[in-house]
Amino acid sequence: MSESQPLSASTTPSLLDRLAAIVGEDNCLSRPEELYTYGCDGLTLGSHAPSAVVLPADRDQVVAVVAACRKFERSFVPRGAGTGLSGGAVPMDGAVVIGLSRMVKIVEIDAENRIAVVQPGVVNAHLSEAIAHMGLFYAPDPSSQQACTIGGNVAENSGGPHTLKYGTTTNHVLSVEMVLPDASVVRLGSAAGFAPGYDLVGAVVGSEGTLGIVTEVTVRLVEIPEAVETMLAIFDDVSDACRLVGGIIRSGMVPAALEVVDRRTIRAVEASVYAAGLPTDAGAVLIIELDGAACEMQGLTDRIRELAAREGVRELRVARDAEERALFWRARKGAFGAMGRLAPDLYVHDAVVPRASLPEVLEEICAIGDRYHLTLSNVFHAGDGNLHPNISFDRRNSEELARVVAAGREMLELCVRVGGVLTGEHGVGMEKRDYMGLLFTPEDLEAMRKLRDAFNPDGICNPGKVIPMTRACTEANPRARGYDEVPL
Amino acid sequence: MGVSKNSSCLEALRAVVGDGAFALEPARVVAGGRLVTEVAPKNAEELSACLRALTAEGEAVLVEGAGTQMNYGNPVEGAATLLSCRHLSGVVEFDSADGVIQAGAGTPLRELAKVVATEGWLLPLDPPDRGGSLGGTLATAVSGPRERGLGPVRDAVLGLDTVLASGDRARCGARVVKNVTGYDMAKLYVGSLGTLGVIEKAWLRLKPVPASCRVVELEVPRTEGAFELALAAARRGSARGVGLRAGDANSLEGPGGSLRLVAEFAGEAPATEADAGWLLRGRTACAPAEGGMDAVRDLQGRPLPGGLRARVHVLPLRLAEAWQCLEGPGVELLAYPEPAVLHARFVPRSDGAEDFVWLDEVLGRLDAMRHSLGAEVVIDELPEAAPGDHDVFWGAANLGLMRALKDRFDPSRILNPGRFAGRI
Repeated sequence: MSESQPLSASTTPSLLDRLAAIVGEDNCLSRPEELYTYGCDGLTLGSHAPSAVVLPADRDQVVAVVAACRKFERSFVPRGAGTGLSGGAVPMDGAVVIGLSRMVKIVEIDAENRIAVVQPGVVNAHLSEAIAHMGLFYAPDPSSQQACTIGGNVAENSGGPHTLKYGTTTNHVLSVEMVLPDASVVRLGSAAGFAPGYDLVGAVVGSEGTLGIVTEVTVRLVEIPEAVETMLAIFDDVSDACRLVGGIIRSGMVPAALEVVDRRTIRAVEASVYAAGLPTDAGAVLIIELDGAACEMQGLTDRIRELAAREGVRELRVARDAEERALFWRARKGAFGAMGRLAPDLYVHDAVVPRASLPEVLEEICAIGDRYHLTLSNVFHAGDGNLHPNISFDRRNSEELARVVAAGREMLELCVRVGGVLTGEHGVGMEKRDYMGLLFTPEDLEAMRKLRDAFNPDGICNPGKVIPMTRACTEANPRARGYDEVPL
Repeated sequence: MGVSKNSSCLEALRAVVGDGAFALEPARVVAGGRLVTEVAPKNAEELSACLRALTAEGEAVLVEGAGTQMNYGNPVEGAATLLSCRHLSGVVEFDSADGVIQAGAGTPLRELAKVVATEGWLLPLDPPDRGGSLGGTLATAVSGPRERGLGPVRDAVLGLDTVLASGDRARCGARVVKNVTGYDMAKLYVGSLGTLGVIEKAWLRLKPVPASCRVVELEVPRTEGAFELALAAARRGSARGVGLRAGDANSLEGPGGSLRLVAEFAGEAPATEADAGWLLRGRTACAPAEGGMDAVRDLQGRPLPGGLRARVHVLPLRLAEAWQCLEGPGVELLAYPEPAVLHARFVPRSDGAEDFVWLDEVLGRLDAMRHSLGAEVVIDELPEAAPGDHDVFWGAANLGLMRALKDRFDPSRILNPGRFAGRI
């Protein structure tokens, strides 16, 4: 993948000067070593340095930055914490990165109406921490919640382990303030939960920063459940763990989380600082978390026990206290960190399949990994059918990198074949843009293009993401093609 | 619209669907449209061919599911053809292990609910109009009293097969329960009153039938915090729906009156028992009205010929104020505490068909309340003969973006033109 030339002060004095005048010298980055950090996000398969990075302090600065980029015909890309895993924040074609990390204000907490208004740079976990004493929390909890921002979550429609019961970001966003690519400001949706007209908030959540830049978000808050019960079901075979997931879904129970950690991940975790005391000869563990009223926990736990026994569970541990609960989760949450022991790089793949097909699909995914001689481990949101085959590799080995990419594609083809989709929570970004044809017809994609064009008609905002750029499309839209060619 | 144009349109549709297109004699007057032609495609291919032909003719259509909500929305502009989705009916696939189902837009909602119930699943769609079709329910996206527990209509939809005005078939989403592959297009179609595309079939996410369901009905004096109690009840873990209406104990409403609170708790038996017990602590339940929460839902949806029905969305803590703003003689109110919605029925107060003084007064009150409380207002039903030019979706913002969408999805404006917010 090519490295775009950064804008240097000598070639782009006007735009750089303008950007620096808007956000201040300290918040306008243009030195190559500064720009390098912004060349990719959590997807490290490739890097594209931006031409400049600006860190606006408020909405008005975002408006001014967008207007300046527009005037100088330079595309721009919004960025939260850069934890995304599909390259959504990667600046293609020498775009200017607009980092929202300084917009970290929790503007309002209205506990009685169960809503909060936040700026996009607020870290996901910080919101829940700020409202915990009110007995409330913000439900979407991506694994990166200690770092990722709510603005980024809106862009990606982020989920997390507790999506099964609480839904994803789209179920929790009531309204957004947004700077459109023409530098106008709109407020979409309503704190009352209904706004007349098209569901524009629904369209914006998950649009991966291609429709504009969200500068304020009104979210719904949820009451912290009275009781939580966390169990760890240990299996000899990962297929049995998946079958228990199916059994629980079929039984009518809706646990807060159903997470599978496979054998290879267990071993990596147990050899790391995240060790949780899991048996390293186990085929898989399934974390089952129930929450709700204290009075219903015993009955639910008993039913889980019964179902687990039916699937041949080796051992079912029930967390005795918060400390043990945290220990169970450590295996899950520390998995990605632990995999750092296996290889320098980790490709966290993401796909969804019908839950009933999990055992068979997982088997085939492992076979694909073997066929490509890759180190594959699985840790995933089984309750949603959301797989995360993780491939450990070394990106300096181009031959291995090619195998990673080829195996990744084959896994997606498999998932689509059984009725699944390309991504459950990481987004399409640039990673899967060119795989969209596996799932969608040209007509399907054209409908998406209509939506994008209504907001972002000339493609100046986060170009090159989500929708494949067909030749016809590029020809019809020369400005989108030409942003990287316009001298500043 | 000239006769020759209509007949050429009918011919074009007949070429596509044969007897599935026919002249309406006499013309049907529906949703403000005078319809002289009807076409009822039997499958996606026919629907696609019909829309392609209609676009070629520049002929606007009124799209219909079961035809039960044709009074909802603004009058259609210049449509002489009715496009009925009733034949796009039936379950396509039901995966009872995974709790998902795909069905045609014309499938009656009641039938769908029965099919999923046979396997222990619950259709999470509970609109006030139970006689509707799946497509119509999604296109109108009006929730009933169980939205608290079942979620809004949009959350039930996993994927849609739509046909655009051009005849292009566009699919979005899929059968899986979690998905961010591409834009969340289904959000655009749901609740758009058929103005962006015609829903052909949909994948829905089902909910398990709860192990236990408890309904509690109480008369609560307003001086004793009926609204606060209703909100607290709606925030109990197993609450599926809570409704408040004028009490039976007194015919006159007012600060001294009482309200009837109906609460439905659904889930695991210990939780529903505990929540019902919590609500009844120190209070006496009244004999439940027949139908429980279903009766509340039916009350919300009951038509009011000649009158006005309005839906008011506010923040939960503003609900009591909204109620106070609107109550009075000839007004029937029904409130849901969370998400907070007030349904108001204004009974016409004059025998003279031409006398709409009452209507002006009602509209004025609604408007004043909208501004003072920051509420969102939709008129669900307006007297047919009402004078004036009322957009029933009040105060729709961002019309520029909405029109930009309409222009791209339906550039010739043939799909339900004028019916939606801003008369899109």
